[in-house]
Amino acid sequence: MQVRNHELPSRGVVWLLLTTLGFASIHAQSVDEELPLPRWEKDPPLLKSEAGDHFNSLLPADPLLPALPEPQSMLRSGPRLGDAPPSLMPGYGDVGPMDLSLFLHGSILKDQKPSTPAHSPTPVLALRDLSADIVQALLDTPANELLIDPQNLIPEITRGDVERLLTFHAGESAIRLHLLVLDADQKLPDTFDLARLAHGVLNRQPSCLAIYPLGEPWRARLLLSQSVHSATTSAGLADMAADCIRDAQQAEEPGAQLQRYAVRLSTRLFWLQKSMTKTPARDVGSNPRLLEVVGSDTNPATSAAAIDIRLWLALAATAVSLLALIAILLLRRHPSPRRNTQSSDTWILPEPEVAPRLGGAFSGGAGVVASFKS
Amino acid sequence: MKCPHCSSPITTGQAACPGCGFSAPAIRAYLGADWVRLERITDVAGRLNLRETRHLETVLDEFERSFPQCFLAGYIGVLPDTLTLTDLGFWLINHGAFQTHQVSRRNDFAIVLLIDPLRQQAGFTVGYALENVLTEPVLQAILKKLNRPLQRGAFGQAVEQCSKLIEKALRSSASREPRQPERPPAVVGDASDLGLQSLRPPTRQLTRPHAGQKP
Repeated sequence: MQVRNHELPSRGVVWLLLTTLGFASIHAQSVDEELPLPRWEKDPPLLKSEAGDHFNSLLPADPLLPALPEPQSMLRSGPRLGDAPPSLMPGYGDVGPMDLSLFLHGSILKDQKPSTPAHSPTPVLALRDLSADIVQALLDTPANELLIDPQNLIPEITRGDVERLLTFHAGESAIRLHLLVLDADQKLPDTFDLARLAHGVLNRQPSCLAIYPLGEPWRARLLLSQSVHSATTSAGLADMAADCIRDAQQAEEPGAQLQRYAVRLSTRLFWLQKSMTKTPARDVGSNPRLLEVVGSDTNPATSAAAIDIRLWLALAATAVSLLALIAILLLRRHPSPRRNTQSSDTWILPEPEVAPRLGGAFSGGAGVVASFKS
Repeated sequence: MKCPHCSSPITTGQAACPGCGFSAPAIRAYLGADWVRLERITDVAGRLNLRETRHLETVLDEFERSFPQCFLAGYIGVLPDTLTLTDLGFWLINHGAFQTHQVSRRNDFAIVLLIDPLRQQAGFTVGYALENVLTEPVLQAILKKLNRPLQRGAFGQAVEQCSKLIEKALRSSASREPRQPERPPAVVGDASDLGLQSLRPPTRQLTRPHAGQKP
């Protein structure tokens, strides 16, 4: 009885399984019939853009070679670029799907600084005077403006940095620092009266004026009030000016050069003020005027020439020393012909007849004795 | 001239010093009558190292090459109180067989430099042939120039410097003989004509025949 009871449920399970499989096969057949099959298009859509557009980020703007017309057969074969999704990431929607810059490291294409061309110094003859309107703008500059740039040559960010520096300097130092920025090929006219600059602000208190040609720090001029100029030696001032120029030349970008120059000059003016025995007095009563710092040869051309001369002198001295050493060694190895002649020659002495003395057959005892006691 | 022992004046032909009686027989009685074999550098005091000695040999070779008649010898040793440097110099030149390149060099062209480190004395004795060239003032001047190395105990350097100074002094009286061009010997009879000297027979001289060998 127990065996029969067990057989009944197993038959039910088998029946249920067969029924379920039958329904499932019928349903699957209906789903396959509903799915769309891929359809082959005889003329697939062509790319809208021209060939090579997606490589523009790697190619120069003006191609060196003219674009060659591609044969239609080449365009019609193979996978179509237009079938690719326009973008896989929402932030790069405007970037083409085949833009290779996506596959290259960002620092190579995006963060790479453009190589600044080597700036050659402007020849002296190519320098031009400031035009009359700029000169007038210099004269009309407000007295409280420390960074004088009427031509707006300095970029905005750099301008803000330098202005903050000059304002800080004016608040902390007794020597006010003014920075007059010119273009690289500009210079102040010879007739320009610096005493009238910015309504004569330089005459009112101990000041330092740096006339800075943008991009050419080696042509920067430094002018100091008389009380400041006479407080230290000319060599010290020349060293200060040269130090500022050297520091500016550490940077390549003109704005960065200006920043470095201003920071260095401000620092050196603080040092100068600290080295002065007394606080610089105003020059109002005693013929106020600005004195230029001179005596430092900071022209890169002449400096380079001086370095070249020193280098050549050092090389010449080294070469002469080496030649002398080689000559000495050769002479020591190979004695001079005269010396050879002397050593190869023989010398014959006369043979005098001397009567023997003291019974000696070969010597009569001729000689000397001396003491070498110290 | 002066007596080598007491420096009394001596005239030519005198057999003994009138002051002290010094003579060749007297010194022979003291040091011996036999010929003695001497190297050119005799360092009895042991003040020269081997390197200095070899270098001095080269220097003396050069000297003899320049002056084929002469030779220079050096003696460094401590002498007894009864013997002066010039006494020994007199005896050495008259009884020494110096090991020069050519044994045929006559001793009357000899120059002997004697140094006594204990007494701190140095002296020269020259043969008859050089008396007129290396006179007393010349030799005194040379000794004066040797004073510095002698005081430092640099006896090797002193001998070398002495060689140079004597060369210079001799050149003033010598005539230069240019180097003879090389030419083959006219007659070659044996090796001696090629400048080679045989010292012993090439094979051993047998004193008695070997066993089994017929006489």
